[in-house]
Amino acid sequence: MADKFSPISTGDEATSTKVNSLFSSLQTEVNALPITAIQPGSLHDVHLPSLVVDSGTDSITGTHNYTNQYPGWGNSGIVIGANATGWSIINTGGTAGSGTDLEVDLGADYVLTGSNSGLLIMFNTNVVALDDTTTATGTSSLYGLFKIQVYANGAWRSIQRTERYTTAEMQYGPGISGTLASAQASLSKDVPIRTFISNADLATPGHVVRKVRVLTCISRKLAAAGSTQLSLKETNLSVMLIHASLQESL
Amino acid sequence: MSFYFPKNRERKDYPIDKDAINEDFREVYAETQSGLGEHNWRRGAISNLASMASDAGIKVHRTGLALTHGITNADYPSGSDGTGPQTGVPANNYFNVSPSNTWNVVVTESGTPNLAATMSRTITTGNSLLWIMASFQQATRNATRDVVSNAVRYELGGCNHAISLDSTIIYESMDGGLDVANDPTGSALRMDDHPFVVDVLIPVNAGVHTLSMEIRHAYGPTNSFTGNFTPVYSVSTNNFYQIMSREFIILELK
Repeated sequence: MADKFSPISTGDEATSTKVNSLFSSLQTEVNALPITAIQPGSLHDVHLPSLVVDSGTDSITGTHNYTNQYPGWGNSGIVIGANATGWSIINTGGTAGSGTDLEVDLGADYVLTGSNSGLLIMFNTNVVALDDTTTATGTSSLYGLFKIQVYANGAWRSIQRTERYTTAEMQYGPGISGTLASAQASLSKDVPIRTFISNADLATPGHVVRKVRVLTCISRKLAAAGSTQLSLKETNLSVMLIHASLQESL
Repeated sequence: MSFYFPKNRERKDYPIDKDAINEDFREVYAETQSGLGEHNWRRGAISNLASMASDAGIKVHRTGLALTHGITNADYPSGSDGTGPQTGVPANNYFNVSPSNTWNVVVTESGTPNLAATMSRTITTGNSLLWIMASFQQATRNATRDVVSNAVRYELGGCNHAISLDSTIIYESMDGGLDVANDPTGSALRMDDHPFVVDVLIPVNAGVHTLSMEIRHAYGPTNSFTGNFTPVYSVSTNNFYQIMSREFIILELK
């Protein structure tokens, strides 16, 4: 029973003032509800707005190929065209960049402070081939690399901890005898990346974010420049801006 | 309960009963003290996110860090053929997978232990649903911290990765498989230098919980080159797997 509840006592008059007082104290009580007064799960999608402030997805189907070469750790230089040193933006047209970029544009600028805790980003691509196209002899010394970028305050910023790489493989195992250097294996590998972008990831806290995209390139050894190619197929990018509190250790 | 308020209606030309008024209010007061359920809130009761505290619906916990992998410009490092160490591989914060088949939490292998490099968090939750994600780069290394040569790489059986809740592996989150009897490549997704993600959605009771990403060497072929598939983990202390750049994300969905 509420401490503030003061019933109309025996002998008192039931006046409008008394009743209004009961309503006022009841209003105070409702506005100061303790969290323990609400059963877990009482408030759900029927009562609440979506906790996803904004979201977007983009995908590419079909094959898109890349030939640009890795520019080194911490280098985010982008080149348009084939067999150059630099990253390629994942694009329906591949290295040439002649198609549409894989990109999520939230359509508005967001500051990642307060309850806008950050962007949950999920990326997957299907690597179907990573090989030296000039020889039938395979090599495992080829690497396909990927990393995520966010568009913050008018410039693209790489999230370095999302840089990932996968290796080429050769067909090898029982039934394939002889030398190690057999044919290049068909990969069909899934490359997944998950990250949560917060204010701490930006060049200057308070910068606004709006878009997300993904870069890719190749690192090669024992293969001539211009002879290596990374082939991707189904590629998906999902971004969610979440209304939440954040505790992080970066 | 106050599905209908007031319980006792005052009617025209009837004397006011103050006991009835008291009863009407007492019942509502009592209801505000505990046990408010979904029926106490109207549809769309809170229409604006600004009315919700940041931690009212979702809490996000995460750790993560970037570690250079040693790949150099347009050419895999000078040592990739086994002639020397890689260029620029980190001295600290990587994690070497133990040469055994036991699960281990990904922590800091070298350097000062720190939360950013630890794929584990101990948090206090309500009766919540947890969405736990681990995203990381796995690499092969030899004694000189070079990439493992082809001949040895194919003897490594790969790793299993999984999320654990209070030190118990959630096997539904594990990649690979548990049965190697019919799998000639062992129980793991035997990919060497490759990024992985494991995740799981799991309900927990209110309390303190420790969530972690754990890894183990999987059972696999001792030497796939000779076709000798002995179901033991295949690793020497000189050649091993390493966890590099990584991120561990927990979404507590209330």
